[in-house]
Amino acid sequence: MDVILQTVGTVGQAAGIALLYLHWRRRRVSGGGVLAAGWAFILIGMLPWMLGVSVERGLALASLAPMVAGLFLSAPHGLADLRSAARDRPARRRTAAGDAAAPAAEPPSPGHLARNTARWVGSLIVVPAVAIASMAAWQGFAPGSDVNRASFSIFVLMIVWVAALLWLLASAKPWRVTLITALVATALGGGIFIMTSGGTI
Amino acid sequence: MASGSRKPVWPRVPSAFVKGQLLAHKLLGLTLAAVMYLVCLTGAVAVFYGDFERWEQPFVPEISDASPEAVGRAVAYARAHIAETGAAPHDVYVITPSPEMPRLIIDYEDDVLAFDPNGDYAGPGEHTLTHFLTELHYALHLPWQVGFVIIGILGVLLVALCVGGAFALPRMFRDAFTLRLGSGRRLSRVDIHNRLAVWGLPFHLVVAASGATMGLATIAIAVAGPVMFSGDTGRAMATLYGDPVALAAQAHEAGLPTSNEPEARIVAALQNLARERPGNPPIYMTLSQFGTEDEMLSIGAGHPDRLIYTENYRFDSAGGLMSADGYAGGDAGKQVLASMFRIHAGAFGGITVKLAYLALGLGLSFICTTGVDIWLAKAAARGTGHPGIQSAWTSFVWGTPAMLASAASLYMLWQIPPEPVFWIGLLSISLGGIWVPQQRLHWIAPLTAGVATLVLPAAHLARFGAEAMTFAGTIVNVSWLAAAVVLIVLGVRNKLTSGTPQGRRLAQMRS
Repeated sequence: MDVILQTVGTVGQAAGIALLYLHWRRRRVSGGGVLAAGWAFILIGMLPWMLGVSVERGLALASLAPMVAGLFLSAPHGLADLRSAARDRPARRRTAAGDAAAPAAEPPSPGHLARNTARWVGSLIVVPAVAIASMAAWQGFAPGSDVNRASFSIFVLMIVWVAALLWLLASAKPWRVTLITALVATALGGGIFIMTSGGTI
Repeated sequence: MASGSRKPVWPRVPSAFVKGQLLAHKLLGLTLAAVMYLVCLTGAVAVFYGDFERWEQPFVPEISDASPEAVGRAVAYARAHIAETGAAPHDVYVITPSPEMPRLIIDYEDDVLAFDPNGDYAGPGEHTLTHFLTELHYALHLPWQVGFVIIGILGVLLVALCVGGAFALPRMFRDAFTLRLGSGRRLSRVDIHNRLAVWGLPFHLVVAASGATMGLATIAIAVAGPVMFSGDTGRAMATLYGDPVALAAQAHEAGLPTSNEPEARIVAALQNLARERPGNPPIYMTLSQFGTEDEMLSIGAGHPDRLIYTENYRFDSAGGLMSADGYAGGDAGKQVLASMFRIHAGAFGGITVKLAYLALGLGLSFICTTGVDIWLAKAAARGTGHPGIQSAWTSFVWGTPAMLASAASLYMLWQIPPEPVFWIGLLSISLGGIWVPQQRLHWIAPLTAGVATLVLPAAHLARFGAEAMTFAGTIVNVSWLAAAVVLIVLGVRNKLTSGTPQGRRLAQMRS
């Protein structure tokens, strides 16, 4: 019985993705109802996977079908574009235009060496340092059992590392970000050291 | 594709933010593309590591179930063998037959022993090639402690790539199905890259975060020692994995087992587990502090309704069920950590999930390659192309599967260690590719990868003969064959199209 329901659920999820595809293909003139129905199908189709298993296992199983269905439904547009490009000369011109659309090479702006140095220093030293300091802070001060603090501190490390790295690499002023991050790392690390050891080595 | 008159669902993302995230994604992606491609490609294939182990050792008996007495006899043999050879392993692992690995194997630092259904020794059971593949994936063939942490950090960086890439796509939902395959090299690559990335995003985030979590657990313990336990890292380990001294003392209280048969404690433990936890079949057994007075017995038992790999049940010196480590019902943190392996390796829904993981993992590998392709195409369109880098990159991308297959074939035929063959070969191919024009690589590279892959099942047959065509052996060999055919057809197609005006134009664009 579970298998039948799960198959129905998978079909429902695929139908939900198909509704989203139809909504997209009709350039969204079909309105919000179709969009809502698509998402509803995807979510309701997840439910049978929760039968007889824990929530996390059910979610892991139920998340796979929409990903695969979405990829498959991208193919029609790709193939149609390929066919039209093959028979359409203007499309070939569009091809050339598309490829030539990239801006001409710009000479490196002044200070690019300093910015790149900041990015390397920040990425290799400062960002890992602030991530580890945050992990230590979580382990030292977060509420909960020892096991939970130690375990979830890995996710704290990951989140801080990702956020700090993206902030640094996306910044037009990476030295400033590196310095701020280094200050935060020092403050956190120093705070942890003082709190855990009383400041004695 | 949207009408544009409709109000967007959420506020418009500032273009400066998107531009910054694109820059971050580009810098990170280009820096990590090669190593990320290696890890992703080997990870996608390694999903089937259990099947590769069975393919690699086709003569090891396949067993659906082994009696506790048979397991006891196998352990008794291994104990005598270890004493004879003078080995002194700290831990000995007994892999009991399960649907995932229907074999009885005993594995310790120096050796791997295989057994038949009666628990009698059936021959060596090491899986050099499978380990070559999996260790490349989780440690890049570096020393375990270093490699595992580096791969954990790569997992964090992959999360950053996923998140940064998603931030850089403000039209993620609007362009969900846009795939302009016929609109020029750069646009088609951009769309393939983005569609694979967007639809696979939950999978990419999950495998990256779970890989990072497993790799960085040692960092968490190293930090927890000074921060939480006054510098005592042993206590940090004990908090997560149990205190071996206290557990050994508790186990001793039960006294000796009542029966006199070989390894009576193990036999009793398996019987007790079957009686007290009928829904949790054993997957492996650990004998830690092996051969000492404090030798501890624990059994990792599956929980088919959960995502955790196993719950670790501890047994006393008489084989009685003493305690559980709490992966199934203890602290949330333990349960989360114990769930990382199955979610990372796709080992939670049978062959269908593994095939989905293979497809999505290959998609992630393809995302790595198209990311670099996009950068190269943009540079070429700006008139600052890098033909040498492009050729080296193409050689590296196709050389990786070619060298994986070649190293495996050479080991299969003549037991040549695969690691040096792979790394020296890949380095030579990638550097040598710099001087090969892209038009030639366009067809030579996939063709070579296909031929190298074709050699692997042939080498397997040459070594083991037709008798090696067990169920797992046949499936894996047919899969290699299918992959080889696809690659060869791709190479031949590229060769044929390079002779047509359209193909020449394409090749010209590529170069």
